[in-house]
Amino acid sequence: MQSRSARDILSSLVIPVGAVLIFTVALRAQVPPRDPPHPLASLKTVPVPEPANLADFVADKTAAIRLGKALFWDMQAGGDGIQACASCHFHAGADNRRKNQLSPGLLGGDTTFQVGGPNYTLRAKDFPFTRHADENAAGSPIVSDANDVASSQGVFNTTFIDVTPGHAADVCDSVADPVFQVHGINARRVEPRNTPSMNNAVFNFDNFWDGRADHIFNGASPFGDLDPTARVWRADAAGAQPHAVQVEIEPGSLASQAVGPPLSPFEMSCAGRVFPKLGRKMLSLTPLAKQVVDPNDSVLGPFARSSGGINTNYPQMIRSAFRPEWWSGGAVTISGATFTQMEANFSLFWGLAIQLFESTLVANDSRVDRFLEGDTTALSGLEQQGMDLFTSTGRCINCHGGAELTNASVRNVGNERLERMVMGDGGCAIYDDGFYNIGMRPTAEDIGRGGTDPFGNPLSDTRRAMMDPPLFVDQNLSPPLGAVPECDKRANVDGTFKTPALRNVELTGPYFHAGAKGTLRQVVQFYNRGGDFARLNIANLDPDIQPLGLTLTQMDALVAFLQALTDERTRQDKAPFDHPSLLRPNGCLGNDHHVEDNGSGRCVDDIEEVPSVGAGGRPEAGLVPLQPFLSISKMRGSGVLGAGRQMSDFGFNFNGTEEVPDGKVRFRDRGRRVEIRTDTFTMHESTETCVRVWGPAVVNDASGFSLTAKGCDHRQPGAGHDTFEIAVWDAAGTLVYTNGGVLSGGNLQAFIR
Amino acid sequence: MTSISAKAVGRAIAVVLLGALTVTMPASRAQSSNTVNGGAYGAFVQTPAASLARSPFATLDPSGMGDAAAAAVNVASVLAAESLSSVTTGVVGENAASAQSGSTLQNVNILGGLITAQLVSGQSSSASNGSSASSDANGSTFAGLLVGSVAIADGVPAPNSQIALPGVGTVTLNEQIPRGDGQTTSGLTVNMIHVRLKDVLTGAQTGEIIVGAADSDAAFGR
Repeated sequence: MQSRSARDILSSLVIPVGAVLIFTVALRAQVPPRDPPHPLASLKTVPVPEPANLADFVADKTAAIRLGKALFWDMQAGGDGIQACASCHFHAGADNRRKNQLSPGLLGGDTTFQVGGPNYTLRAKDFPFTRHADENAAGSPIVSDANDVASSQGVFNTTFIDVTPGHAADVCDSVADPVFQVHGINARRVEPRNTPSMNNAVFNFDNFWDGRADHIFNGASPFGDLDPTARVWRADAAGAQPHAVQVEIEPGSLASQAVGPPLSPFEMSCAGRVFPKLGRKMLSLTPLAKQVVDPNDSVLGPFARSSGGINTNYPQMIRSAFRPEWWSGGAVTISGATFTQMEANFSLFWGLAIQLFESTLVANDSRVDRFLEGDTTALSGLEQQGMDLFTSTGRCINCHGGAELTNASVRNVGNERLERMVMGDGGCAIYDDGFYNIGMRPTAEDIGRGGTDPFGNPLSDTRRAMMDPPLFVDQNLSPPLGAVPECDKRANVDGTFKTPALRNVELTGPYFHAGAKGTLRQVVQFYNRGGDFARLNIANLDPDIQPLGLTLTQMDALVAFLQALTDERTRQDKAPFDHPSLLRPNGCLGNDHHVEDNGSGRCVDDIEEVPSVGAGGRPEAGLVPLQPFLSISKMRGSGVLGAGRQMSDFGFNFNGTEEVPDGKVRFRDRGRRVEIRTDTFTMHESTETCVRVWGPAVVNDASGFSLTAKGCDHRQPGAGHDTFEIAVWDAAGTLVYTNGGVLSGGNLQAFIR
Repeated sequence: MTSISAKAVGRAIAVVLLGALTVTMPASRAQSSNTVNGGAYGAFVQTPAASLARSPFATLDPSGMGDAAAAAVNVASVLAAESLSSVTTGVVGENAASAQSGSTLQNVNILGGLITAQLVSGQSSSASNGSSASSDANGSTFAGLLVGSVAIADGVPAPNSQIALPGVGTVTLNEQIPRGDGQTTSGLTVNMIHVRLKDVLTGAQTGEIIVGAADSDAAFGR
């Protein structure tokens, strides 16, 4: 357990601040000044980056985008036949699930949980994970802290055996999980860092929080030109024997990123799967066979099948999208196993196709963009005040600069990968442009950019440049490395993370690499305090992390500005953000104290549907707009389950607040003559479509029972779409009644106020 | 006794019904055009000899839900029923407004066995998103319905199916009264059994019995 007491934390803060400030002033005169912040601009002014040598691989970009969208959303890619890329990137490109989303501080060596254990349901009151006596006051003591990470559940702990062509689930062995389990029953494992959005990620020079998804795509792995094993296979003619070649596709960070999760034993894979095996499976399956594709899907719609999936196949899609030298050759032998060239090059197709698909997910039409284009009515006075603070007192722009709202952009880092900076402790150092230590968590918990790749190479360009001989030379660093001795022997990379871009930030909580803040207000309060662990991290701290002295009104303004960065197309899942349906796990049935074993040592998934949405977005589908991670949700409705003498009728009213939800349930099973009611909810959880409540229940006028009821709003009107479920336990905890299904009449409507 | 025309009676009933069932929910976007209304009741009797107010009567209140229930109702020689429940809900959301109401009752006996049913359920749902608005009676159903000696198949007959009751009047099954412009507003009143008692000689309506009534209305103007 690594929970820290306030006294422990305060005892580590023995830094003579005054001396630091004096030293800082003296030193700043000796080092080159930091580049001025890049001014804000509409993102529409920035061309979407694209590899210069794309035509060497891609024959038809439109076809490649179509392939990329299918692969990204296809549940069959997971080792369990469930887990898609989209399973963690379905909500404005991020993940707003609350159940079984906690990871202990694994990257700091901690395997114990503080906020809640596996299958715990996060509540509003769990955030922020670091609490201060006064959240708004600089120097306010920490009163509680947890190093847990709010992230995304992936797969169960398993080892890979093989694939079975025609079957979505791989053949894998279940392995007892020492961390992600409830009383010995495995739950899905949760990633140790929060899930960033892939929307606008095309503008990032490197991706992942630590930037290990290299800007050069090698066709096989995330690690760019420093992966000595990376090869793809090229045939000089149809049917010819392919030969292994090394490729460099730049900018290719999205492709580098895309090939990571499919083999990760946390995210999508049984441990030990390789890409050619994944290719063998996917090439044998109907794309998106488990999912619904809206006929109006902006990319896949013309191929939508009424029975699910699309009416083409992956081999055909690859032949349409890629040049034949990458798929038309003979067999390839890898590690003693024989594959077709298409299977052998599946990582190349996967990475590039998904990169091209994600390159279409550009959110550049927020009200802030419109304001910056000259529409002075696009922002309210409060939002304009927030923008002024963003670029001045708030110091936000120093890291979230330029049209991209991040210094980690292709345009910025591509011009200057290293920079000198006077650090929070007054000393000077070299750092990776766009990566900063902001004192959100102690550096030792997760060193981020300070880590290494699987081959022992530093992830950091700064550390690569300082190696002898150097692995990297930044020709644009001026003066060159070594010319400023007081700076150039110190790498400031530990505990630094990629600065995320901010469009749609309203929808992508929880925030930061640890997911430790639940709302934008908590984010602004964090910066206003000058960080949570600034002094503990002082050796690597960005100098802009210092108390800001903002008033409550100014913080309101900053929050309002951040909310104005939402592209309404994203909020409404309109093209290009429309998508197929997705059945994604939402933890296990049960809670963090009790789950059911599915017979193989794993818990029973609680699967929920993300409905398919066509180009017209959620309004056309009768869906509520995407909501922030933490918000007040309500759901109301009544209707009928079943038919005839066996029908049940119900009423459901849920009013959620951050602390105590209220509402009522009325349910009558006419066939079994069971009447259930409650006017009290003790707990609730919600997604963008479903609300589940728990509470005491009265059954046939007898008290002492408890219930859970779950309503899901998929469409307006709801008959044939919306669902309602109810389960009742007696005082002894025995399940005595369940019912549920699709509404045959009536409607449920969810909304957030 | 003052004689009034059937048309006038119908108009008066409609006014009473809609007036009683309409409760306006405040719109989240401060637009007066965004409203939901709803109500439901199991039984209503108005005859020269007996009367029963809408019972159990659920009406939409500011909480967004209304419900009511009764173990039984009994109007001697006119109506008996058991396990009555009524519920209505409504909400104005960011993209749409919806309201839905339902009433369900069992072991229904009307006019001394002239009409009986094991189960009657009336449902009315309305939704509007500002560009289209619609209502439906999905989920409405009968089970074990007998009119006179004629058994009606389980399920729901065509809307506004009318059957003569010689010497008594008429009964309308699955009566549906729609309203709204279909774009921003839509509403629907459903009366699963609507008996109109008529004077044998003049044909004038002398009373009515309604069983399984539900009403919903949604308006969303964007």
